[in-house]
Amino acid sequence: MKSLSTDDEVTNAGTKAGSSASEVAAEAGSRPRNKVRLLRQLLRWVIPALVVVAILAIWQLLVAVLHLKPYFIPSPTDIALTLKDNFRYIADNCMPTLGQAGLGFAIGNGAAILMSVWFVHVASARRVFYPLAIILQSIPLIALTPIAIVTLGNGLTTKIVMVGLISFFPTLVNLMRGLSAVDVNMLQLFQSVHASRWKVLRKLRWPNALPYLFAGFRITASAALLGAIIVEWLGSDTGLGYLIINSTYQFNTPFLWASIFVSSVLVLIAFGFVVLIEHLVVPWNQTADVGR
Amino acid sequence: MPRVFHRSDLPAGIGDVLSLADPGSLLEMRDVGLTYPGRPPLRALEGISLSMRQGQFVSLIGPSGCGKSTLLRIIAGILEPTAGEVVVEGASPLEAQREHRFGFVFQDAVLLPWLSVQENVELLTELVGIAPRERRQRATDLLRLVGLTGCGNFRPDQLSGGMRQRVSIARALALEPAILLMDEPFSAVDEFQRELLNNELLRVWAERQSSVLFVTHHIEEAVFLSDRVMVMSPAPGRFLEQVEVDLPRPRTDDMRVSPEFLRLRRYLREVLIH
Repeated sequence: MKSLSTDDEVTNAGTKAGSSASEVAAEAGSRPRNKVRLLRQLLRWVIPALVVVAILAIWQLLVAVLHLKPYFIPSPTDIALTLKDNFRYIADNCMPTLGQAGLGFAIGNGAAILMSVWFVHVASARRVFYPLAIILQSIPLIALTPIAIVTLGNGLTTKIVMVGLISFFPTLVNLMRGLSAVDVNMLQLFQSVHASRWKVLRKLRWPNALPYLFAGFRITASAALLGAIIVEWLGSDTGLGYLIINSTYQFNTPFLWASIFVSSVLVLIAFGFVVLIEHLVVPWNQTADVGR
Repeated sequence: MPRVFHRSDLPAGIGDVLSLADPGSLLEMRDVGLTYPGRPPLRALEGISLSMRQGQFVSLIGPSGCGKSTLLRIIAGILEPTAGEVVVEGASPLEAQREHRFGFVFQDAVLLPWLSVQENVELLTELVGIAPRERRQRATDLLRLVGLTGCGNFRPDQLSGGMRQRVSIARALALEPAILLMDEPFSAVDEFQRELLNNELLRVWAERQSSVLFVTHHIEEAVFLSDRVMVMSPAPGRFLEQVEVDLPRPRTDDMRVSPEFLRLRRYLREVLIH
């Protein structure tokens, strides 16, 4: 009997005390509500999809009616055909871009994680370097690319350094907040049993900071890819950035659009991947996601 | 069999010295004060003297901001007093903290949201390095003790406020502390839950033979639970009055309307409101 009333309290969390009657009512009510939720979920996907289809249709129609030249604005079918015919070539050129973005992402975020742990524990380091990091962050990093090319040469190093820098600051700032924004009472709870700073970091600060860390990952996943593409504009003979610049010079506008389309698909995949990992790693913090 | 001294048996002054060696003594505070430096300096606590014996249930009651919570944190070695002396089982608060002699229960349950209920109860035992099997056993026993058998796999946000507070009491008991320091633990639950949890707490206290220092601003709760109620003044916090509660144990709900209970309640009310 005891455990039954306790279970009931769980399902009706927040209510004073449950009776078995209210439990039955909740059970019966949940079925149709589930159906409504499913329908709502479906509509949430269907409506945006319809909007996209409508935009593509209008686009196609306008190009045909206004007799726009493909090198000016290609129709969606032109772009799709170009993509289909050159799929292999474009896919091959995704690889170096993805590689640089991935490597830069890992290095930039790794450095950001180490540095924020350092900053949180060593006040003097934080006082000296954190304002500096904030100032550096305000510099448009892409504008530094020519400087990086002059000093580091036009090779892989430059690209990875740039992508690393782009990935560094958002994660640093977010993680610093996450590691510091620990509930005072939780900290005192750890203190009340004389827990070491290492234990506080591992058992309290770090898990507490994970949602913030993933907020940083969400930003830097797309920023790293875009950064890698833009760095390729300034000197490269492979990669998506090279395809974009090259097709622009050659007035191959359908190819330009196809490359840009592939770039945005990659960014979306990267972002989705981060969100997926976040769901697995931080299951207790789903409030930031739409629709929950 | 050690001889038990009663402070009242001895001339003033000598009792203070002897109480340090008194084997039944749990907590001794002498003239403790806390002043935050500043212009003007902020006096939070002044001239606090308190002695508590093992197995006692003592409440601190007073208006908000009188330093009750601060006092608990001084005892737990989280804050350092600027005057006076605190002795916990013959040791300083920091030493006692190192020996895990404190169980702390906060106003909110303060459960870690990324851990299950079971893991939350095990948290402190894990932090101090108790073996996995032992700490699992303790947590399971404690969850049974607070009436949450079978709730170990829930996440904290799946529980009601009252249940979360039970989990935090179980967690505080996991290290078998010498003293349970409770900081307005039931102020966030409704009146009905409060009375329920009061009864539960007394049952747990009796079963575990623990000692409790209980901060509250709820007069009835203080009378119902305690052997002794310490009344504090508004800031800077001082003890205005010390009221012994002579109601028999175990306390039952019908005592809440007994003449003695009502008399104490009225008296405390007068002292607090002036």
